Amino acid sequence: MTATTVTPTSAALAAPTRQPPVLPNLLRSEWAKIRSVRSTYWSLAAAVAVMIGYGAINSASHTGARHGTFAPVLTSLSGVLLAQLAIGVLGVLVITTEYSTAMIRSTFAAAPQRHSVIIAKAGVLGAAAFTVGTVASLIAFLAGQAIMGANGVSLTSPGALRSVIGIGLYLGLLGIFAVALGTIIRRSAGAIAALVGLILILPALLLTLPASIQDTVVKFLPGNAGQAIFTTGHDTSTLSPWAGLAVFALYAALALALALVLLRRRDA
Amino acid sequence: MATNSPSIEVRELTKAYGKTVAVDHLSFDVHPGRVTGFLGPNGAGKSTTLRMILGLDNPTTGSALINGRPFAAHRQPLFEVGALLDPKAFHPGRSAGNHLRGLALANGIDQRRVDRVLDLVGLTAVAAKRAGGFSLGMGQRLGLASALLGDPAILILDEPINGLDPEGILWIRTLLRSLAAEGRTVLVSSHLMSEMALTAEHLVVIGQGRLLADDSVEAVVAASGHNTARVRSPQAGHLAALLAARGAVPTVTGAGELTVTGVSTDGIGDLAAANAITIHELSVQRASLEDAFMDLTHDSVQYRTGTHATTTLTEESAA
Repeated sequence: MTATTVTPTSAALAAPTRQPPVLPNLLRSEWAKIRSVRSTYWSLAAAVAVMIGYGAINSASHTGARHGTFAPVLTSLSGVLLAQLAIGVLGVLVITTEYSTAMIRSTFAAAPQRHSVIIAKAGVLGAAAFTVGTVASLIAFLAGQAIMGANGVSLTSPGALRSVIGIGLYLGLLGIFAVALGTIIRRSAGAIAALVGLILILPALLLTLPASIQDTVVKFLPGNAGQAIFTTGHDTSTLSPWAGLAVFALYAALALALALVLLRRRDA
Repeated sequence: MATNSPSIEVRELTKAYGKTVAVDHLSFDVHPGRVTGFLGPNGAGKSTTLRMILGLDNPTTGSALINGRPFAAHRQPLFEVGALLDPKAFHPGRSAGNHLRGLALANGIDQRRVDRVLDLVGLTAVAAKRAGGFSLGMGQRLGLASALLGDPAILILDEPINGLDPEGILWIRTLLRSLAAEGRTVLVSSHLMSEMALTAEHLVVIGQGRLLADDSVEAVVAASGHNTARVRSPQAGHLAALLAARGAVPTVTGAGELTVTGVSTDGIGDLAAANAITIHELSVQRASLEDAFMDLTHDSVQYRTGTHATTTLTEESAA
């Protein structure tokens, strides 16, 4: 053994002085991780495809319809109801696959700041979903309006720009909500079922309830509240666009808070 | 040798799952500069202990410190502790290189170091391949690469030899010994006693979550009741009588051949010389580490059965 081979000791001595904030490194790490699995690309490609394709099909069916009998903005953006499933599944999988493969232990052995890890993960996924969602919804809008020809409207028409960007915001928050749900439930199937149940199935089931309950309860459900941001015709059964988005953001924040509490208590 | 202060300190560490106690008031230190073998039969609580040291599982009571601080207090732990806990602790769809890159970035480690550790474990050629297709041995190499990312002074490896071929075993044994020789702390768990005899200098042996031994490999073997001496002599009968008269226990194991317990080889040689007995062979039959280990764990099991007779069934079914 020579003195020059004792490098680890110097590394160990240097370590305590390296105290940079952990979040930037964790964001870079999670960004690299999300870009290096195929499921990310498949999910995002599926979201874009259904966003544009479904909107185009719906728009094509309205080319001969009369003005005022349908909402041209929402028609071109109707693909979001399918795209949200792809984003939700992706958000769940980025964390549940870590638990199902024991990758989570590698992750936490490299970064014991579990809260920061999940916040970085949710942040990266949310940003990706927002960006892809906004671009897809803009393309879907422009394509849909072009298909509708004379029935089409421009981006400056009431609610159009708000809806287009709103879809990006909705999908971004949905991605964060899904990461939180995945962290809480930890199993892919259970977390996806919970997400679909909350966003799609529960509102449909409650549609059979009296209108008074629709107006007081159903519009506050996560999906219904969030979708107000890209709804053009608002009435007593919906929240106003930004109030709805704020309620949805609150759901995402609460889910994330619960996830962080459980993360501290549970064994990895 | 290991005169430095301990880099891993385990203090009264306990982990209970309901009524099952997986780790039971376990205390030991791990020192730098040598390979410490962490031994125990399956279900002894080795992996649980290692996960608690790494802050992955919360102890029911007790604590574990790394360089004097809990693991979770380290902001860039890869520079201090490298861990291999599970040979499949990666996303199967991610390539080996990208897996390491993701972990490296979490501690601000650059791509050159990722390439370096890939080379070190011999995975450079398959760095772009999806890790899901790796064999167990390749998974171990990938796990070892991730443990070495930060060039840490402490390595904690859970059963790193599982799934390796003979060449891989020799490689990892040499690597671990050289890492320890560089002054690093190397804690390696295993249930393969024979492998630990070749790799480790110090042993921490546990059974049913309790400490059974914390000593050098030699001392653990020596403490075993299995050490015997083998003697070949044309006057074996005469020698056996003399040995028996001195309280030793000679057994005739062949023509002119004795196996003797209860007396050292020095004692046998002196006795033979004093009585002008010709000796053709006098050798120590070292207990294998397996024998020593069986002794330790057997005692532990008996002890628990005797004192907790009513709970034995549930504990065994849980283990």
